[in-house]
Order: sequence, then C-alpha cells, then structure tokens
Amino acid sequence: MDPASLDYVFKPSSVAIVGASRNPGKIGHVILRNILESGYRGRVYPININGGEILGLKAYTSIDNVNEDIDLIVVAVPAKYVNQVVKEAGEKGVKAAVIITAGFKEVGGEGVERERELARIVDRYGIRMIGPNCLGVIDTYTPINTTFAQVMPKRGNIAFISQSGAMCTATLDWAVESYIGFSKVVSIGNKTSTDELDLIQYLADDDETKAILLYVESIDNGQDFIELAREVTRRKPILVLKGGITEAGAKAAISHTGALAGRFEAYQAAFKKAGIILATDVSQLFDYAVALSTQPVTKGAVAVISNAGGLCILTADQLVRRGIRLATFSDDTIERLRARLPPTAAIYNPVDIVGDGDKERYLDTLDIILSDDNVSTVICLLAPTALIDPYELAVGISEAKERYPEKAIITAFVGGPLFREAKRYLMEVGIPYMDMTVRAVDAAYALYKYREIRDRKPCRYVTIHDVDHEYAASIIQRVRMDGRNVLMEHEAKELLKAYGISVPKSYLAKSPIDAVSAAEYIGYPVVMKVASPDILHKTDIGGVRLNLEGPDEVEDAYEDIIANASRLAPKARLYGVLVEEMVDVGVEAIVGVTMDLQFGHLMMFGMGGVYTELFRDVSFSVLPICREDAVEMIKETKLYHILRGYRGLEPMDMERTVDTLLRINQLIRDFPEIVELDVNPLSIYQVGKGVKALDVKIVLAREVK
Amino acid sequence: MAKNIFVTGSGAVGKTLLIYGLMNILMEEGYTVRYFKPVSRGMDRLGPGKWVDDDVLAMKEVVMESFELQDISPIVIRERFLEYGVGGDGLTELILKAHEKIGEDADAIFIESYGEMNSLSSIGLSGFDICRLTGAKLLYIIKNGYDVDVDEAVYWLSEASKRGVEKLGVIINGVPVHLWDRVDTLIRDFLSKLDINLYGLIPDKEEFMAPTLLDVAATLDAEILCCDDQLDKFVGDVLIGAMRPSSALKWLRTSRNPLVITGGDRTELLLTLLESGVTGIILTGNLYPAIKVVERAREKNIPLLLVNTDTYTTVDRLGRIHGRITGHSLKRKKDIIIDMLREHVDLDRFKKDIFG
Repeated sequence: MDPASLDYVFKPSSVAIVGASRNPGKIGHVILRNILESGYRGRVYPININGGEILGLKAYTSIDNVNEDIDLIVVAVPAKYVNQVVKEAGEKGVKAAVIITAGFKEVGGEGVERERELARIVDRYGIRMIGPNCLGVIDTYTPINTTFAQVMPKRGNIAFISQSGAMCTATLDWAVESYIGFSKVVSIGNKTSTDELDLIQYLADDDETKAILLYVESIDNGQDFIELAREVTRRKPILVLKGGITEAGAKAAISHTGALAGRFEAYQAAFKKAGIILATDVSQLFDYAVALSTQPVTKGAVAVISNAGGLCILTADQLVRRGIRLATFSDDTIERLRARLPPTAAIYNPVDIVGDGDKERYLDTLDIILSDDNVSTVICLLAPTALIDPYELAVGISEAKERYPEKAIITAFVGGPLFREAKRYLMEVGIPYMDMTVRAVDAAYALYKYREIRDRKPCRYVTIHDVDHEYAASIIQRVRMDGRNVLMEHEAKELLKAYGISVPKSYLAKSPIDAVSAAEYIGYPVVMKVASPDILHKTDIGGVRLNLEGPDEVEDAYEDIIANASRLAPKARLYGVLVEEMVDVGVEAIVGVTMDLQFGHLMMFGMGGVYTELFRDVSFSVLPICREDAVEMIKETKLYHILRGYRGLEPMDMERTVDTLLRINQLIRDFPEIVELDVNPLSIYQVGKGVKALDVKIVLAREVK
Repeated sequence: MAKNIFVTGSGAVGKTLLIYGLMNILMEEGYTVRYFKPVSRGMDRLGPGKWVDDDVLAMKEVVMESFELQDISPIVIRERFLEYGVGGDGLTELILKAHEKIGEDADAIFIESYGEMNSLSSIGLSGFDICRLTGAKLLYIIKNGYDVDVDEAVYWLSEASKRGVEKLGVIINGVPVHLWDRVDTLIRDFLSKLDINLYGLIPDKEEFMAPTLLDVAATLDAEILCCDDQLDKFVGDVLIGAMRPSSALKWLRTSRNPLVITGGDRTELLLTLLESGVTGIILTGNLYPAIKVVERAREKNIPLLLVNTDTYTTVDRLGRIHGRITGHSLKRKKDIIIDMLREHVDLDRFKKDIFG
C-alpha cells in the first residue's frame, strides 16, 4: 500500500469515532474527548447506536448516516462488531481506520480467524489500518490525538512507534516531565496490515520528524526491515529499543504480543547493518533522540566544561569507554583559556573552571571552546554553587548556541530541584538537558554514532565470477537425490573448492584397499575420517585417525573407524572413510553461516579451532556482505591483531581471508538453501600463502514435501 | 495344494514387512496368498489369559481380516514353554489344523518363524520341524550383509539341507551404503559358489524401521492437540528439547524427521521448533501449551502430542516402539516396500521357485 495513504491516519480532514460513549469511564468517550481537546480542526462524528449527543456533538447511529465523507474512523466497539463496522466503512469509502479494540490474534482461537477476516476486509476496500489491539495515534502538528492516553504530548521532532500500548502511555507521561516533544506517536498493536516498515517509510519523508524511535518486540520481515532502515538511516536516524532480545525477555514478549524473538547476536548484527542505534532502556532511547532531534550531527571530537572537577573526570572516563574522542584544543584556545581562567583551573580538555567560577567565567570559557575548530560538541556540566544562577547560565548557553549553530551543545546539570527552571528553559529552546553525566555522554554518543552511520560508504556488492556454479549445483543435487540434507565432509569441501576456496586433497574410500590406493595417490602421511551424514562429532566416536604413515596403518585405520562407528553410532549411515592429505595448520579461524529465522543468513568470523567456544572471539554480520563488511568483521575480533602480526609474529594472509568470506557470501547467495555452514578451522597461512578449509560442515534446508 | 514358504532370519531382520510386501505383489498378480505364524510371542494382552503378537495383530488387520487370530497363530508363547513337555505334546496337531484352515483355496502361504531356526527345538517346534510339518521351503533373510551375518545364514542353510528341508534362497535386507559394493560383488560370488540363491539386496531404508506418529501416540497414550490428519508421518530422530531455541536449531537442521520431546511451557522453543519444521512434538508433564503455539502448529500442520509422563519416562516408553509393527505402519510402508522389492529383488525367479 502507498505510504502516503498514512496521511489519512495522521492528517485526516474528518474523523468518526465508532463506539463513542457518553460514559466518561468508557474508552470510546476518552478518545472522543482527546480528539476534541487536542485542538483538532477537522470534522468530528461520534458514532453510537443509540444516537443522541456526546460531549456537545450530535451522535450518529451508524457511519452510513453521516452524509459527508469520512477520512478516518477510530473503532472502539467490542471485538465481535469490529469487522462489520470496518466493512460498512469500506462501503462508505472511508480511507483509514485505527482499531483500538483488542480480542484478535493475541487471544488465539476465534480471535485469529477474526483478525484474518479483518485483514481481508481492509485489503478489499483499500483501507489503511492501524491496529487492532492498539492505543491509537497522535500527530502534534495536525493536531489530533486518537488515543485513550491521558496526556497529549507537546510538539517536537521525534516520532515514536511502539508495539506496546502501555509503553506509549508510560513514555508520554514521562516525556511531559522531561519536556520532550513529539511529532507523531503510533501504537501499532497487532500490526495486521500496517507495520513498522510502512511507518518508517512514511516518516522518512515527514518534514516534522527528525528522529524515528521504535519500541518493538518482534520484527516480522527481518530482511526487508534491514534493507529499508539501511536506506532511511542515511537521511534520518532510527533508534530502537528492542524487547525480547534475551531468551528471558523473549518469553515475556511471546505471552505479550505473540512474537518470536531472535537471538541477541542476530539482532545486533542486523541493527548494525541497518544503521540503527540500539538503546538499552527508555531513558537512553530518549537521550539519544533528544540529541539527534535538536543538535547538528557532529564529527566527533568532544570538549567538556565544568565548574566541578569530579564531574569532569567522570565524563571523560565515560566518553573514552564509549569510544568517543576528546578534542585537542588549538594553541590559541589554550592561550586564551590560560588568560581567562585562574591558575588552579584545568585548561586542557576537560576544562574545569573550578568551584569559585561565576556565570561570566563559565560563559567566556564556553565561547573560547566553541570557537575552536577542533571542537564540534561541547558537554556543559554544572554542579550547584551559590556563585552561578543555573537559569541565567542556561540562558547564556542558549545564546552561545545561537552564535555557533553548527556545533552541538549538551548540558548535564547534576542536581535536582535547584535546576528545575534551567531544565525547562533548555529543553524548550532545544538544548538537551541531562541530570547525569552518563546521560550527556549517551547524547554525545548518539551524535557521534549517527555521524558514522550517515557517512559510511555505500556497500558495493560484487559478484564473484570465477566459481563453478554448475558443479556446485550438481553436488547439492546429488545430496538431495540421496534423500539427505546434511552434506558429508568431502561433499562440503568439494562445494567450497568449486567456489575457489582451497581445501586439502581428499578421497572417499569404501574399502580398506580403496583407502590404501587413495593414500598412495595423495601421498603419506594421511588423515582418515569416518564419512557419515549422521556423525557430526567424528572424534567423539573414534572416527578420526591422524598422521598415518603407510598402507598397513591405513588399512587398520579403515577397519577401526568402521568398527567404532558401527558400535558407537549404530543408527548412523556409514558411507565409508575419507582419506585426506595431512596439512600444516596455520592460524585457526572459524567462518560460520547460520540461517536466522528472522534476518536470514548470518555470517560469523572469529578465532577457530578447539578454543572457539572458550574465547568467543567472534563477530557477526547479516548477509550479503561487501568487501568493507568483510574487513570490518575481521577487525572486530582480537584474531585480527594476530593476523596483522602480533608482537613480531609473521603477518598472515589477510587478503585471502577477506576473499574467503566474500566467496562464502557468494556461495550463500547462489545457494540460499544452505542453512548451516561451518568452516572450522579455516587455516590461515602467512601472507601470500593463502588459506585452507580443513573441516567443513554444510547443512541444507529440509526439503518441503 | 498351497505352496509354503518359511521365512526366517536372525533377529529383527524385517521379516514381517518383507512378507507383507511379497504377499501384496503376489496378490496384485491374482494369487491367493496367506500369512501364518504357527508360534508367536504374546506381547500384548487382549484379555484374561489371552495374549497376542504385534506382527500377528498387524497382519490380521492388513491382509488376513477374515481369519481368526487363533488360526493365524495357533500357539502363543510368553516366557515359559517347557510345560508343553518334550516334543510338545499335541502342538503339531494344533498347528496342522490351523494351517489347513489358513491354506484353504490358497496358492501360497508365507509362514513366519518364531525366532531363529533352532528356537523351540526342545518342544519340537524349531524352524526345521515347522518346515517338515508344513512342507515349506526356506527363505532366509540376511540383515545388513556383514560377514558374520552371511556366515550364520550359510550355516543354517546347510543345516537345512542336511535335515531334508528344501531351501529357496536368501534376500539380504538393509544393506548399508558403504557395504553395498562388497555385498554385490564378493558376497554374491561367495553365495553362488555355495549354490545359494541370492534373490536380491535391499538397501538400508530408514522408513522400514521407523514408527509413525500414530504409533507413537498409541504407545504413549497421548492426547492429540493438533493435526490428527498428519499422524501417518514417519518418525526419525528423537530429540529432547532442553536447549535454548538458538541451539536447538543446529540440532534440528541436522536431524532426520525429528520428533522433539519438551515441556508445553517452553513457548519460545516450541515456536522455534514449529518454524523450523519438525515432524512432531511431544509435550510432557501434561503442560498445555500457549494458544499461540497450538495456532502455529495448526498453520504448519505439525502434530502436538500431549502426554502426562515426564521426559525420562516418555523416552523410555518410546524406546519400546522400535521394531514393533502395527497395521497402520504396515499400510503406510506398503508402497515403499513394494517398490523396493520390485526394484531390487528377482521376483520372477522367486515365483518360479515357488510355483514352478
């Protein structure tokens, strides 16, 4: 559906409230009152089967009885009547509907069927629907408030989309206290026909919105979500608070809105790719949002000014911990600061004007710092003293901000009631006010992080052509014909080889004599491994023998391996024994791919070998990846330092490692039916000597019968 | 006069299923064929003092409907049988009477052995005794085709010749992939040199031994919460769902037709299982799952079986299902076994050896 049709939800010229009530305790009454009190200027039609008058307006007995056109209906009748109401609205030509009523998918049974039917109806009539099972929608610019929340937020540039209605009411009330304004608030409920994707698309082009905030518990079209967000975040920041990111959280999410939460790593990788900034709680979400919706996105270097040394130190620590650079002042700035400040002051960043500093000293210092080209963001800290009137200082800061509109200012006045007036003033003029240093640092982080996201180079996906796609397809087909979805090691290695990744020479032997001739062909010493799609941990059942030197050893190994496998894995299908070239092991890495149920294929890179699980030195990325992504994945691990040549070690073949990730990426693009792939170890040799996949596991999706 | 084929082998070699397949093939060609198990093992209790063998019950259901259980299998033995006395006083008469009833108007009777060829020798009911009594020819089923299996078959077949029992030959059933070439060349030659007919090799096929979900539900006495029209699916691997959903995925993807046992309260795991497409789910401890789970199972056509036992007991009871045969699973496997026999067994020769 065209995103523009959401205009009928946010900017309707007329609205009907179906289920409007005279009883102030009813939701249908509250919504009507909220619409009227929000200052809505369009036509309003209360619909109530008994007619009469509600809140001074004539009530109609049905939508049909309204003679004029209706853009939007807000439905708050019992669940069993909803579908009938929406159908009538469709007949009348209503453009949009906000369904407040609960009792659909979330209750199971007939609710599920009812929701399906509702989806069919809105689809048939082309109605843009929000909900069901939601709080409603607010637009502060229209203005209109179709929710049953108790507060109407003030106007601002933050759009807030929430899957939970209760999160909306909690946030709205809290936001009043914090002087935070919104452009739009949407509770999406069961998101039957309008989901977060539709809204992001709409808000991306909404001039009143500067930052898009989401509280979500489930994301249904993970891959589309990433793609859309990646595009939108180049223009506008998207900030997400995701419920159900841990397994325990997911449990609550399921019982809440019926969502299937994915793994934490998958979410992190997906959000990274999408350019989304993830917040850990509501206050952090809004600290990010306030900064991004009021301040220019700056290049990073931060200066700190304070009248309290303790606050300076804390802030500097917190900045460093979040990877934000403290600005180095120019010589001129240092000279000027030295001239202006008493000798006890700290004139290098962070700047401490010391406790006896007054407003003039503070503001002069701020001016000097702001004029330094090395500074793009200033965090203004204040501890209460009798020498500085916080309100007057706030006014001074806002005047300074006017002189330097291209620079970002964030304030953290650490205190309580003494700063109440300053807080209100600063927030009203659009300068972020925080009551803790860590929150100011969060705000600075948002500006720095978003700058990084906005400026990142667009990923250029390159197709690798020197692969033997046809041969790879034939391997997969053979596995399928054999009724399997697990590739045996030699098949998996053949597949990688077809994609230009080096593997040891190997041969599948079906008898001891076979094994000996294979070994002679490959050259001693050899490795032998049981070949069975059902045995994943070959060592555990005595299915691996290393360093075999001659025909007798090979023959014995064959018999032993088959005997061990038959005894310890009696149900496993044995296809023989793999005879393989014995190769030197370089630096052991792991490259894995797993198909995430929400975001599609996820690639992992990190330290390989037997210690993989112990060190957990791994990074993730959602596929597809480009060269830059591959390099970044490697850089995110500690293994990177070893590959670069840690403390005099020889540098390893980084180029072939990157190339291997890209080739696996290509393999997955060509054969998306691969649901699991594990190369462990991927042995990385010195520069110029390449890499080798020493053990490979590949699993295909089960075929749908 | 009906031709009699005595089918035996060592252990669980798939005798009943092969007989069922061969019978169906002959019946399709217009022959009247019967099933007879003179002595069977009483495994299921029908009533006071009345016991029955699963094989017999299943075969009655699928090919011997109009016959009485006591005619299909006149002697049912539990643990004790020496009470019958040396030579089994009067037992042979019972067998012959039933054999006559079963064989009425029949072209051929497949007689299934009680155990090994030598079992029940003490009471005069060994395989050799039954063959002599009914004039049956011996069809020996070799399992897998490892050397020891072949060795054992060679012994019993030569013993049969010594004791005046006519032999038809052997079928090697369930040959694993890695043994196929060897069995097909070396062992085929070996048997041929001993003048033993090899009718064919049948590859290892997991469905042969696999129970269906209905078998599972019946064994566990489960309440079926969803999708009772999907119970004819075969069960492969049995997994215990005790891991996190993300870890479960790895196991699920590498397993064959997985049946997962877990608690009904593990909603997030259950949803993952349903998304990844398992064969069936057993919910233990009588914990009814969330509405969402049942709805999703319906959409995905994945049966949910609720049992009141704990995980350990459930697994233990499931263990007993292996190798057991039901009428339902036989019917379900009919086409597969017929196809396998047609593809891998020299049926013309087999028929010629029976009917001349």
